[in-house]
Amino acid sequence: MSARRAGGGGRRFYSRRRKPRNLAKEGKSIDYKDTELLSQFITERKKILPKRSTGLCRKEQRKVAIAIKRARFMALLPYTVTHK
Amino acid sequence: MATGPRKYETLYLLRPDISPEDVSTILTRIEQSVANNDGEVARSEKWAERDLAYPINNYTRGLYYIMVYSAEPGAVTDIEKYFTLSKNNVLRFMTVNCPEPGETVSGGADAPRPPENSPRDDQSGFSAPAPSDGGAKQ
Repeated sequence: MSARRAGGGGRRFYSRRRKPRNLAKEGKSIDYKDTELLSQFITERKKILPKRSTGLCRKEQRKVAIAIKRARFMALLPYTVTHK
Repeated sequence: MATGPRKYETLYLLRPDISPEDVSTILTRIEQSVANNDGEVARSEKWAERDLAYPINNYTRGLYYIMVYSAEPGAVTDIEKYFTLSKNNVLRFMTVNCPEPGETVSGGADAPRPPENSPRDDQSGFSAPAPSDGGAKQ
């Protein structure tokens, strides 16, 4: 499917759709302390990637998002690239 | 509440220039709280020393300590109250329900990730999940 939509307004769409991915099948558990794994699911500007880009199922996407937020609170991951 | 002991994991961040005496004070204090709440400490140790993702109280580095334990919920309240009162030394703390009974620490600065085969990995997992409980929190 094309990432471009009709209308052609100012909004850009990600063309970064990824293949489906399942962390459980890869034998990986989602843990907020595992910053190496979690940083695969954030953008350069440290935003959480949407499900369409990560390719995760909604259950794992939710767990990843929660884990990223926990890691952010514990200063394991940044909230943004411009911290103060 | 008449709930049995639950399994928790507390990660807390200490300032980097803390004295070793203060660290052992904190360790004994929180392990004591667990013992006072019919609990048992599975592990309590330093997890990592690393650069913080963003400065906290002008510190750019910190010591992460972790404690995995099972205890009555009162222990968590007690420990978190203590951490709040020792704001000087404890920059951050967080308690989560322990994900897996067997699993301890994955990832980390240098520790390799242990293989994990369970296809379902619900966070509610305690060693013997009561069927009636259904993973309800607290």
